[in-house]
Amino acid sequence: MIKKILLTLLLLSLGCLKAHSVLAQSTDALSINISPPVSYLYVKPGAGISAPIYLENQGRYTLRVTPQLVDFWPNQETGQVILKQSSSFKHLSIAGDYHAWGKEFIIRPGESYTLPLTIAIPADFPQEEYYLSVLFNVEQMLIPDLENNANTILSGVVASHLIVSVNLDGSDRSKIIVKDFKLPKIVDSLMGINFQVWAKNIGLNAGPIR
Amino acid sequence: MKKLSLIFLLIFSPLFMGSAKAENMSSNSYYLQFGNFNMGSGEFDRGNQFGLTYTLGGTAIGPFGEYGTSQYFIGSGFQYIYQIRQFSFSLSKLIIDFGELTAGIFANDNHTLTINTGSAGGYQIYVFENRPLTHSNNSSEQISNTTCNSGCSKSLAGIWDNPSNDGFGYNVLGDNVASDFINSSYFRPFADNSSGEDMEIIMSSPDVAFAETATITYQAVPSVAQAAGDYQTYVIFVAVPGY
Repeated sequence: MIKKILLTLLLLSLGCLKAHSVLAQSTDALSINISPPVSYLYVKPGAGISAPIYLENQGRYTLRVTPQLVDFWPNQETGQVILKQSSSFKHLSIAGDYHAWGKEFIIRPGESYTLPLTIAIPADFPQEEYYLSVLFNVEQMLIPDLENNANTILSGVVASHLIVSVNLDGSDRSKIIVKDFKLPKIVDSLMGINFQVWAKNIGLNAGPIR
Repeated sequence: MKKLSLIFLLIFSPLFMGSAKAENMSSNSYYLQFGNFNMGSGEFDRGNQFGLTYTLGGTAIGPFGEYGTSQYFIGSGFQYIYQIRQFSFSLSKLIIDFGELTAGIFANDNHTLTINTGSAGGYQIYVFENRPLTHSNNSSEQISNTTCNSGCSKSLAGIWDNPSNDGFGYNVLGDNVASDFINSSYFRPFADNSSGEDMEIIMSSPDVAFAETATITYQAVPSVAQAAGDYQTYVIFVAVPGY
């Protein structure tokens, strides 16, 4: 009897180990992972840096991916990202080739792809912060007959932001000030106090709030 | 005598103690000196209320190098797992098929979308169509975008449960969806890219999201005078990480 119990426990524990080692593929038609979603990069004028973006196809179908570079600007009050149609920043390229933007590549299910982005800043480039988004237009490689019979064909666009600070000494020039502080007019001593702080960055680059 | 014993013990006690050894780990491709195993790490209440994470027993917890800037970055401690978590976006299917459309009868189809923000600070999901539902052989023949029962717009949903009002629209229900989708009767027309309309937010959050999902329901009904044939459009979802 004891032998049976021990054998059962052993088999159960082995089962648990096996279950943990299996990486499940998503059952979704389109499932794309992207890393990093946001990068903060310091680059000195006259210097270069690589900023690869990693993509992983976790969906069921082979995907056709087209990268596009656009600018974005953050909403001044909410910080929400507002994408523009294009970018005027000419120093972010795919493996040194600026004309490679818009050229598609393929990722099969379960496979990954690293987009080799490089930033090369001229020596006389203005020391500012640049807000860039790489948009990956992701669509299934469709069989023509299937495409013709569908009413609506869905696709996705996934963004990865690059905030590039061109800065000679690499120093943090952010300056966060408290612009407004609101407390509730009535406080219940038995409850928590909710208060609002409105912080504003009056510096030259994005900064962390600690 | 007692004092003498104490001094004797203090002097010679190191001889009887086992030396503490940090564990070194190596393979053909690396040598990790003085590596250590945490005695515990994990997270409590993931994402719901407070999201507390912990690392116990690590001897050198903290960031080494600067992420994305220096030649190396080591995030020592469980907390840094968020820095490498990926932003992911999923659609359960990519084809919407209404079958045969009949005037006066709603045709519906739906799918889900799922978002994980990983290390990003929140997200926004936008949607737009490249054109209204358009006849495959005659681009001037279209099923117009819905105006609902008594008015709705690309940014404000309205009730659309009267199939005598022909059109094409969508409803979204789920986590952090736009508040104008009050229930499954509320629909919006898609923002039409061919008319220069900006894409519209359907789902957003300023917080980290773990597997937040929404169901998109498409609804179409042709007019009585609609020409027979196949009608088609493209709908594009745009997933934008917060920062």
